Amino acid sequence: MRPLRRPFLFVSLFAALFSQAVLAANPGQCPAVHRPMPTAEERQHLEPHFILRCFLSIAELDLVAGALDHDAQTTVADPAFDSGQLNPDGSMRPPLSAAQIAALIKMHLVLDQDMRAGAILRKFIPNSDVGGFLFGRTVIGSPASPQVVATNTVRGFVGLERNTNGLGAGETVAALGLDFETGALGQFTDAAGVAFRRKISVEVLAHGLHSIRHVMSAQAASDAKIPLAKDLRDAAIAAAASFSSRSLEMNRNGQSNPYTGLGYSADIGVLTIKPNDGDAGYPLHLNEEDVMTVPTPLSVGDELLMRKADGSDRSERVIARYLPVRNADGTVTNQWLMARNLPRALARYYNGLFNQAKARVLAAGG
Amino acid sequence: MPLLRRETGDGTAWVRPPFRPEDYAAPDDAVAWFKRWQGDALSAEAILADRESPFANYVEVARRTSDGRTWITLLEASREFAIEIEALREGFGEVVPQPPRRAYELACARDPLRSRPVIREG
Repeated sequence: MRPLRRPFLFVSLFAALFSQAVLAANPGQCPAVHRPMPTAEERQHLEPHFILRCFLSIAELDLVAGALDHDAQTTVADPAFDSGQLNPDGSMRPPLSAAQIAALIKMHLVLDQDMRAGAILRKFIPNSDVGGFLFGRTVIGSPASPQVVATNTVRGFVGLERNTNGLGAGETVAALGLDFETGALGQFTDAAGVAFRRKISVEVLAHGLHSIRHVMSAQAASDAKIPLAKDLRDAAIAAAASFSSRSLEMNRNGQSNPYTGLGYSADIGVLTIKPNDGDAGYPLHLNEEDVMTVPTPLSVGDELLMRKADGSDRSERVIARYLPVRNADGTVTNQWLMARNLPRALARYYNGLFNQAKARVLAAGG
Repeated sequence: MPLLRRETGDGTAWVRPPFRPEDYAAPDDAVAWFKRWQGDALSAEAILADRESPFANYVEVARRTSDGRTWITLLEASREFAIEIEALREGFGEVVPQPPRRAYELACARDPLRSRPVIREG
């Protein structure tokens, strides 16, 4: 029997290598796990971690998650960004390891494919901005020099809808790193009464968390770029030239800034689930964040949604839709129209925000 | 030109290689990107101050007023090229890439502010 063992071993080895080769070459199968590859359409709706597991090993995912709170800008020399190398308590962040950088690059190569024409985007906004969006204009600047501006664009940090699918308001605030406020009462978080600790704001608890759902044009998808701190971006461009146009160098500034520089968002660790239990934080929800390098206009069909804070009801409610409206003079403009099925109390609340925004704009001469 | 990080016997230092114009020239795509914000709804000041601004890697290094127009000079913090923009209430006005020599001088002016010593070569 002995002579048979070597061929068997050979065949087994060959079969294993062959199956690996087939697996790697088969576009219908995930290379890192035995399951079908999700389609481009499915990927818009799947949790990023699920998509990543198709391509990354568990060890690589651990490296990505473990990169949080590391310094991705050790080669930044400008003093404006020195504070970005620190944690909220003033301690130095450790530099990224080579393995963490490699895993992060792999992650972004996978997730960035889905930022394309037709991609479904979310832009989360503070409740104080909701009225201005509904009215179409708002007032910015100082009281001495107010400026009326249109609110018909999506700008700043954004992310695909899948990043926060199914999350309650608190989990969303954590996943998006919206724990940047420092005052006693904020739009997203309030002081928790303990140093370096914040809790979900009374504002969100009372009125929910709002976002704009926007479908990306090809131009907008091209203008949405992954914000990366310098070390990571330099390494990413060296690994794949596409990162030169698909990413933007953004270094962290401020030790309390939740911006990670890693191309994914997360809370900075000050957000607590229970104010009396300072160590009870929210779990990391891997994602890819983008920044709009140029504002992109709202488009017909965009929606304003609200999700609740308590997590007991994770469904979202459509508050308003952005639709063409024929004006008295016959012209057509796109405006936010309130959903017809809003409960009376909610309709009263949003009408109140609309009217407040309108009054501010008119007072400012707009 | 990004400063180079060097480990020395006295710790980490930054190294500034000898001046070459091409190292401090504003790239065309950067200039074009600023121009895409001309006529934006927000003022130039608001755009630059926004914590979510894509221009966060630019540092204001000079400001002047001329004939009633306000000009802000921005230095890209890593690549150290400079662009001067006209600050308007509606985004950016004129966008003027600065000569490499001026960008170099503006970058060198920040050297004493850096947390580590700068070794200037050449």
